[in-house]
Amino acid sequence: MIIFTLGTIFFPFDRAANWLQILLQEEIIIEPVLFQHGATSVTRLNHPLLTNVASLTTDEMHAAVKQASLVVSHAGQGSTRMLAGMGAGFVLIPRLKRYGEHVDDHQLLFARAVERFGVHYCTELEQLIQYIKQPPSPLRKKLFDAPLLAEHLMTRYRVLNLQK
Amino acid sequence: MKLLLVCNPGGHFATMMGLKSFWSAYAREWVTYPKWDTQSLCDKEIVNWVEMQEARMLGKACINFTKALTILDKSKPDLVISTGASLAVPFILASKGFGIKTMFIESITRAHELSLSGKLVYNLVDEFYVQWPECVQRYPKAQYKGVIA
Repeated sequence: MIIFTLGTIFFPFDRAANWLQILLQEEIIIEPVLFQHGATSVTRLNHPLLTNVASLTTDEMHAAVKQASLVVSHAGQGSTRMLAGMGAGFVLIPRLKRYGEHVDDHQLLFARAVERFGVHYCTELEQLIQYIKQPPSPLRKKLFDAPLLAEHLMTRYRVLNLQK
Repeated sequence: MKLLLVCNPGGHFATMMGLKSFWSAYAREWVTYPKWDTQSLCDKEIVNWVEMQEARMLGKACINFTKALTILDKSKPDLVISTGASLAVPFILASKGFGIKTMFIESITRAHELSLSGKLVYNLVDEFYVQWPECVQRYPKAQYKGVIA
C-alpha cells in the first residue's frame, strides 16, 4: 500500500492530486493507495486502487504508515517528523507559493534543509516516478539529532520558579 | 505558574505537543480552533476555542484579538507560549496589554527566514526561540536552545 497525504491545511494541492491521477492511469502505481487529500478536491479522482479520505486521525494514520511500502507527503513539518520518527520510507512534495499551495515557499526550504539528513523530496513528476519505482529506504537515525528545547525550558523555568 | 498554550492545528499543534514534558508540569489552558487533531484535546485539557484564523486573515485576527482580551482576563496566565502560526499574533499582542510574559517558538520549517507571524511578534515577545542555529545570526534576539523532537 502507498499512502499519499497532502496534510489537512486549507490550501488545495491540485498539482499533487493530478500527479497521483497520472501515476494510477499510467499504471506506474499498481498497488492500493490511501489518499488523505485534506482540502484538495478529489471529485475527478477515481480509480479502483484509490481510497480517498479527507483526514485521518493520528492513530489511523500511524496504523496505515506501519503497513505502507511508501509514503508520499506534502512537506509539512508535522508529517515529516512523524514519518521520520516512525521509520517510514517516504518522499516529500513541497507545496509552492506560485501555484497557491501555501502562503510562501517554506515547505521547499524545509525540504532542502532536511535533505542533508537523508530526507528525499521532489518537485517534478518525473522525479516522483523514480521514487515510486525505487522507494527510498527509511532513515537510519533520528531526523533532528540535537538538544531538546523542552529540556532547556524545563531547566530554565524550574530555576526561575525557585528564585521567586 | 500558569500557562496559556496558543497554536494553530496541524504542525504547530504537533510542535506544542512535542513540548509536553515542559508544559505538563504546570497549570494551563489552551487556545486553538477545532480540527481533526486539536479536537482530541477536549477530553483532557481546558481549551478556549477561537475563530479559525489562518495566514493573512486580518478580519479573523481582529475577532481573535477581542477574544484574546477576554480569555487573558479570565485565565490570568503568567506566561503565554505560542508555537505559531497566525494565532500567535493577536494573543501575543493582547498579552502585552496585560503585561503578561510571552514566548514564541518558530517552526522548524524556518531554517533561514522567519515566518510572517514570527516577524510580527519578534519585537514584542520576551523570549523568541528558533530551531536552527543558523537563524540566530540573522535574528540576534532569537535563541537557539535545541529542537522540538
